[in-house]
Amino acid sequence: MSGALAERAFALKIEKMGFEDVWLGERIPHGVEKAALYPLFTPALIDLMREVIPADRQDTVAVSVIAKARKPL
Amino acid sequence: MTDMLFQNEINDVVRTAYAGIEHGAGKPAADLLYSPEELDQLPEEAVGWALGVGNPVRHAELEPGETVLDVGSGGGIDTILAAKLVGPTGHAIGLDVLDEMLDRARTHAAAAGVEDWTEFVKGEMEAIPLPDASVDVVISNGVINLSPRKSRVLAEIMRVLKPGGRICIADLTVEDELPPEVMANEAAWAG
Repeated sequence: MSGALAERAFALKIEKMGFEDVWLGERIPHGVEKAALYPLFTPALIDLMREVIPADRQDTVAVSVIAKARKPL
Repeated sequence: MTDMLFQNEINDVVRTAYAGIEHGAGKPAADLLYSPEELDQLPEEAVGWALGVGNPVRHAELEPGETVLDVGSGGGIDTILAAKLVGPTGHAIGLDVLDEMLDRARTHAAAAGVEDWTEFVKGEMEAIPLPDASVDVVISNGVINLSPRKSRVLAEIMRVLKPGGRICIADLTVEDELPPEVMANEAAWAG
């Protein structure tokens, strides 16, 4: 999660690489409790996130997005 | 040089974290991402290894006969679903850097009955071991954010795609900076 880009930066990176018809959609929020399902988030990290991430952001710490694009012909 | 060392440290953290886990996020996470019909096509063990953040296959518009590459294939869920759609006239390739994940994915693909047109290859997403212009579609699920060299990953994806080829990538985005205590936690680079 720490390496994730902002959505616009992600889209720009795809466009700058030369892809065409870039489309982003199907956004899914990922919060602390959902992260706790994933074993890559250690119990210590989940506890830390519960402690330091503001309450109004606990349900949407990150957002997954689908990015579609096409290589030019 | 400092940047390269930092990149290598991140890669080591991510690989160590993924190599050390003994299960995925399991059915509770898979139920949030995949339809019951999709889950019915997967071996139970594969569902247990769900680690993705979206459902790229649903949006990839895969056609029978296409060659699809799954970058960071993990336990193989998306590779298997893609293989079902491209069928035996197509080819599904899962790419992962960890032998443990590759072994699991091969077992899951065999249990799903797609092993004859599915292969799992070892390699880094920053140096994909496939020829130029050899793939119709590249999918990926929650993996590109793990790389400290995202432009390099996208350049490699561009290289292996055929002209007119497509990408359909699910990945995490973060709009507001994470608290510094979280950013500094090694596990947050792998999760």
